[in-house]
Amino acid sequence: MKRTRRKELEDLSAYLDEESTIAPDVLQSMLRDDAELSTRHAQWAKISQAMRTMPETEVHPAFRTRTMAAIREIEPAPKTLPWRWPALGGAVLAACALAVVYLSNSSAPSLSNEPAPDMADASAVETVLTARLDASTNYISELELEYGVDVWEVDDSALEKDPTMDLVPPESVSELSELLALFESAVTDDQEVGAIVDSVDAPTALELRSLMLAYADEELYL
Amino acid sequence: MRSVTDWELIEQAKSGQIDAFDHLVRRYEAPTINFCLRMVGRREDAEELAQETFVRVYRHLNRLEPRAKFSTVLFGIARNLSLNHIRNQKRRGRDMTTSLSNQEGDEMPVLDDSQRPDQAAHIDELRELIEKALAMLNTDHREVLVLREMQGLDYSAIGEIIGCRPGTVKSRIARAREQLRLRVLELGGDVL
Repeated sequence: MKRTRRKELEDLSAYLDEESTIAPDVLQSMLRDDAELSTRHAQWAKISQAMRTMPETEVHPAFRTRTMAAIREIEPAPKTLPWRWPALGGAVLAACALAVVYLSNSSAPSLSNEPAPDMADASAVETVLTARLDASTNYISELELEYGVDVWEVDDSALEKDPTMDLVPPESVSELSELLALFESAVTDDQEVGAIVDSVDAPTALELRSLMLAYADEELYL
Repeated sequence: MRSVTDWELIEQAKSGQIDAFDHLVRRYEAPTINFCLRMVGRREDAEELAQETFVRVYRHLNRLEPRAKFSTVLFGIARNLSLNHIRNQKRRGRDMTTSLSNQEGDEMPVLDDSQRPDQAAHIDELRELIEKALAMLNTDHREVLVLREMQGLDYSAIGEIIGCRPGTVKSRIARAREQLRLRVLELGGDVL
């Protein structure tokens, strides 16, 4: 079966990194028979060689002095934070319970002809999302309390423009929903998450960023 | 004499020996600054990010377990901080457009004594173009190339850092290499 060009290039690249799973003689014959591939391989190899032999940037001794001075001022976090998980777990459970209640209400046949309350316009996803946002916001505040500092640096330029913003506007909920889905399925795909963060309005972006960092922190340290 | 491993230093730091952490900082300061520098493009920012990386490692010292290489944990944190920094810069309308080689205070590649002057000059020129071309790549491509070519990490370690399977790393590196090659050709013509 003929291999696609993309596969050939990937194998060739892996071959340069000594990570190829293809037999070397197969790759050698590919290079012999395909002049374009051979040129590309030679250019890749040249670039690779130049990059691998780039001298490391010299580090000024002041860097370590500064870093160690900053480190001496902090205490390492304890191994476990027993209060944090129940709090977070409780918030998630509450959100799930809300969703179940809401779903069962919205799917049950109505016994009266009264119009549904306004709340019914919102989807169950939005309800869960709102609850999760609250939970996350609390969680972030708890982290800040725990460390006594901002665990992450919040981009406050948006706040300067609109000091009244402190709530996520309802129209942003679907964007948040999309982002949270991304967190759960591919939390580390930052490029994708970044694209969404860049596409939403400033208040939403702030919320998203906080959520993202909370998730990233968990991913890294647990 | 066997040198102390990273995780042994972490254990010593956990027990309160701050000198052990100082040793770790000394061991990894250059690779961490280099990685951040290639990611964000400004020496000053890179040093701040590298410092924050070590601070975060220390802050979470007691939760670190030797499940992976220490360098994987370190670069993972440095990468996340760099990505956040890049997002902030984008939001503030600043982008990584300045080439590293154009900044004052950056070291130019050191000549290898074994190279003939014309060869050395050629490699210098190529490295300069590579620095410029790297800055033009998107973050996804730049980070895998830096981790692979400059930090020497294998596909599996890169996958742990960026949260992808080794197969994804393999295809991303191939695409990144090709993008870099095209940029170098655009910038330098016949240098390749």
